[in-house]
Amino acid sequence: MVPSHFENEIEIAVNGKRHKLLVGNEQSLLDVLREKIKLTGAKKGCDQGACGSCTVLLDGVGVCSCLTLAVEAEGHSITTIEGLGEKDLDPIQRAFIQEDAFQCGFCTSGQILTARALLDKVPNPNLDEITEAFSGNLCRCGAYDRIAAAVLTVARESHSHHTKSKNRS
Amino acid sequence: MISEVAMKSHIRIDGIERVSGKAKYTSDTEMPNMLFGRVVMSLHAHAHVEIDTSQAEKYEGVKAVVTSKDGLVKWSAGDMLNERYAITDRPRFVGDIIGAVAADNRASAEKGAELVSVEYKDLPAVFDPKEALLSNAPKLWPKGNTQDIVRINRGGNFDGGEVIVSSTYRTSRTHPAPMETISVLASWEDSNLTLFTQSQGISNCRSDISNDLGIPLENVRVICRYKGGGFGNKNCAMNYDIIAALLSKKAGKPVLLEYSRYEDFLGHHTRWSTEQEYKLRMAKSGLIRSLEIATLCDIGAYGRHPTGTYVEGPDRLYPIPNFKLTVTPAYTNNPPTGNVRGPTEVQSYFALESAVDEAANKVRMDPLAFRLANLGQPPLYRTTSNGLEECIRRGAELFRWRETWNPPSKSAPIEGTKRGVGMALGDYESSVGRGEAELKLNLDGTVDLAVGVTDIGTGAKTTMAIIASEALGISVDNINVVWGDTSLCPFSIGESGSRTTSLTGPAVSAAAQELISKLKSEAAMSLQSDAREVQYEQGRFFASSGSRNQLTLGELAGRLESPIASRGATDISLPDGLRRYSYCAHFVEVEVDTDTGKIAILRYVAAHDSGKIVNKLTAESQIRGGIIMGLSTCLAEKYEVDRYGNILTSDLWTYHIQRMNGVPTIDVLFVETDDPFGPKTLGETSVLGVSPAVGNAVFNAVGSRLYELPFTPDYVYRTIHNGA
Repeated sequence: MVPSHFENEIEIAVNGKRHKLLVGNEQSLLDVLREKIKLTGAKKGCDQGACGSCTVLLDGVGVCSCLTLAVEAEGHSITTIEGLGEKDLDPIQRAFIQEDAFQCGFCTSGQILTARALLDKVPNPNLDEITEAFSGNLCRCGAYDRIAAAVLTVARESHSHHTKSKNRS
Repeated sequence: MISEVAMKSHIRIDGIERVSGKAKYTSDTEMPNMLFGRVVMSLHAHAHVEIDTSQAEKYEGVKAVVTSKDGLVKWSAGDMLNERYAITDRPRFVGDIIGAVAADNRASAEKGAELVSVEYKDLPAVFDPKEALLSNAPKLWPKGNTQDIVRINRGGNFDGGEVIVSSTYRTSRTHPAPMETISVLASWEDSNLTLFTQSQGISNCRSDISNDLGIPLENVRVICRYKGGGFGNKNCAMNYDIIAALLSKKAGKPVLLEYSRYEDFLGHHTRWSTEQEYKLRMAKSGLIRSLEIATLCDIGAYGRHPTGTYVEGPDRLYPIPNFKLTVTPAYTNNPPTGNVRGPTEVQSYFALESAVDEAANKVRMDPLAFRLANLGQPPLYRTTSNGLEECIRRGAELFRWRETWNPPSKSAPIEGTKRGVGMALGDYESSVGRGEAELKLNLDGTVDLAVGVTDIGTGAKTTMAIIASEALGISVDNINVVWGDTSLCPFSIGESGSRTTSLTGPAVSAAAQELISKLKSEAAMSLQSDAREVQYEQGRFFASSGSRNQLTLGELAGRLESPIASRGATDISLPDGLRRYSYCAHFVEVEVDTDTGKIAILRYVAAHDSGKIVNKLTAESQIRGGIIMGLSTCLAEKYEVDRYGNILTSDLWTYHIQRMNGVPTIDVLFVETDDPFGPKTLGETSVLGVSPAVGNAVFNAVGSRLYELPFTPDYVYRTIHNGA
């Protein structure tokens, strides 16, 4: 790949912070996050959209940042693992630790953001919905059943919390 | 003896780092003025190369190009028999490294690598292991196309027994495919080299680098803090470690060498493929009298399996009185091979436990009863502990084997879906050996534990912290583990052979004992007692046995003038004639769609004897992960090469690894034998039983035997409908 002379200025919000950046037209969002903004939580596992290690949230929807051009992200809001639970861990992060839903941790940022996107859309998913949502996230260590368990734990907790507050009102 | 103490469960001590993106992997590491490196791989399978680097060197941003013209540098871990070079002038497979480029940005490094001009003078190549052994085959090596042929011959009576099973089993190449692709950052300061690399063993990597680059050990520092998966190959220096060091030396700047996923598929080495011919003879009662095995292994252009045995297990799992094994490794111009999780055993137990299942069926016995009867033959050797029969008993109970197993019936029409159950056993060597650990009590009452482990996902540093916490009687939260850096940590065997807990664990206990003994002297002064009288229990020192005059570890730390350190160095060996293994008994129920050949895994029970379990949470995860990887090997993974040596499965779209879909419920149970040498191996034992258990369950379901891994739908469909 020849360094491009064709660059564009984009403005994106990453984890709530605005960034004005000059990016190459061919540059992926993943490379911009890792190399320009120095957020290395999103990982490059394949650079082909096959593994899901680079998953970030684009306006709350999980995308492979390696398949998303940085210029496509112009004007959008992006959440990376660093932005999830910046102060306190997100419930899904806590559940990943408690359920041992990772081993080497390399794919974990992508798994957690996929989980977050699913739970935001479907607060109480069943196992089929979970499997469907994670179909693009590989885990070579084989933590799949623990990942599903972590998602179910968070769903159960928020459901019972929700029911309790409903009963109170 | 089975211990009945409740197992501990502790979350990983690095959980927050791993779930928050804070854990820095090698590819996340940066240094000031760092360059980026790429390798140049051979496009031909066997050739002499002439290389012209002038265009590459002229390209904007390129700072250094290295080839064999800079001098051949030996990579000693690259082949067990022949001399292999980190960068060669005679590539022996498509993907062999013939050069490398460093530039001040990634794009220039990639373009620079493309601009290295290569003239290939082709040599004849051979890709079929059988052809490679013929006398007129093209020679890869001056010593010929084979390594030492392994032969075991025990007993010598191969005519006895009235019932014969004669079968050939084949296993494919599989790739470790860790999620983190290869990267390494090398940096020189005068004559001192620092490598941030993806190692499974920083101590071994350091000594290999020292040897191969000819620099003193103390000038090499190897760091691996977080690593995105291991699965074999890397408890040594890798060629990319050497290449990054060479590039950095030549450029005079730090170099981060990176591989793409395609290059990673060639840069990590695969499991060797096998063809295993079995002849098993037994009495009508089902007692196995003899087993003859002849195995041919395609080890590719370079064979990195360090012991050269290639087949292990069938000689030891059952006490078979007459046993003969011949293993012929063949060099070919296919990509090289190395250790992949359960290196020799995965292929071996697929064949052995499939053959045993065939044998049980021939004498119309329940395969569980058949196995127990054969395990009951006079033992061939003594073991430190053996919970195999307990694994079978408890695993079968949980699985409800007696209620679910029925003899296979071939007469039923082959249509729709069919269910069946299968089982398989396995064992894995649990070596003992050298371990080291250092402890230090700080003035704030915390304890530093330095161990040379790398945490590739096994939970090694959590396990080591638990061992220290138990020995010192303090909370895991008060222990800071220092790991993954040869300048801060003592020797560790590294994360291969599932040995960390067995080898480094005892050193942690020894360091704790020494620390307690040193602290007793300090405590004696405070308690106005004699150090010999002082008792230590659960973080408290008592002036004497039964005394109420006491001091906590934290209080003592506060009174110290400087931290107190201790060191544990253990080197355990087994007494002559005594052997040590971990064991598993796996049970699985499958559903075969006879219209498509697709196998669905319905439920799985894994019973394991790995001795005492240090951390139930991570031990269960290791076993589940091993079974899931085993299912991937069994059902999908096939590393394919075309007839010119080009890899066909070079990305994660074409090389199929298990996804969440299809993962069954896995019940894990531990039989905690009280082994005199402590915990036994665990991580690799879990992959061994999967393929044969699934194959046996398919046989139970449809009455057809699967002889080849992987069990892809097309292979299963053909087998079922041809009645093979």
